[in-house]
Amino acid sequence: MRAFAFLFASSILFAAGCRYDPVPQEIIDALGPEQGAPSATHRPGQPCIVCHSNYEGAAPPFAVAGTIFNLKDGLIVPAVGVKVIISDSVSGLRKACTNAAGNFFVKREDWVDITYPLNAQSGSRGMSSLIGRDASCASCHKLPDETSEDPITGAGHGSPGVIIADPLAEGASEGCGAPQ
Amino acid sequence: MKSRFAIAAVMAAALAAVTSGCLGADATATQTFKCPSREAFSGEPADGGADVLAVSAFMERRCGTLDCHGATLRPMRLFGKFGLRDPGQHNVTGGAPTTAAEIDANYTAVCNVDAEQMDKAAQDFGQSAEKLLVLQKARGVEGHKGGTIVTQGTPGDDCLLGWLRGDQLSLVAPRCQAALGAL
Repeated sequence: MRAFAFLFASSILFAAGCRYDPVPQEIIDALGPEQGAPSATHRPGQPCIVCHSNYEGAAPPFAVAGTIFNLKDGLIVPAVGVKVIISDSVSGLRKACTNAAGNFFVKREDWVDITYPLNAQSGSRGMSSLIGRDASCASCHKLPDETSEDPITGAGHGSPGVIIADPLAEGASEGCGAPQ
Repeated sequence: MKSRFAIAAVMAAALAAVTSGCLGADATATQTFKCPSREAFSGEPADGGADVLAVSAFMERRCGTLDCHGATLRPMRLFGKFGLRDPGQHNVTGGAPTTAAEIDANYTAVCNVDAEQMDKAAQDFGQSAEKLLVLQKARGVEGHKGGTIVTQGTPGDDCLLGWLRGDQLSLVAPRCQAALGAL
């Protein structure tokens, strides 16, 4: 009986140890607590896929996700109803629209065979660099913090800052309808 | 009594050997490795002519994104205009062009991936270049999280291989520029 209890406890510890991955966990811990209930408009500007992933298990899992902002009166505000086009390396293409928080996402079930590197475009603005492996836009397009050279957009030596929408793209995006 | 003395002597000798191994002259010795042309890597002509896009520019764009080799903690860390910027300067991602200091750092990073083999390739005029880890990983022959980056016979592969084989800047740069154009 004692042996069984020992084995049971060991297997639980082993399983818990296997699940723990310090790299995503450190990012998740740094995101802070949830404000209100989780929804499609929660946590704008944070790296979505650290949680919407196999590791953390937030539903739904995403293939690509991010947030788009506008610059208004020296502040960043959500860019609503903006169409984003993401293309992968085998001519795959997906479109998404930003919601009331500026968030957009493509569910993993809608892009199972996504192949890196990716590129992204919104309005007349395309990314200048490729997306090599991280489909959370905010992993690179970081919110402003104490290390930012630009305290408004967050641009710094390791980030181009948050994604700022093409001013002509907002509200004029074909197929984006009313934001939810 | 004699045996105790002998054991103590052996232990003292072993301790001395270990200590000298850690703190001896070898601890501060340096070794110099050769690397293929800095000129062809950087795109900065040695004769002072105008800079051109070459190996560094290609690698910055294709390998040095912020989520790959432009990440601070990743091996072969690369700086570049659209990736990680030198924290000692005040440039931002997407801002000013890649600086000379950043290109120097890129050259050092790439040359040190496989320093002994890189030295060998530089000495044998590139005959062993195809064995280099940097090329093997880029071709996807060696395990590489970023997958296959270049395939043989394409401008990107020619850009890297040409540099590793010791080709001159005038030959390497057009290949790298063609590879950049395809991104």
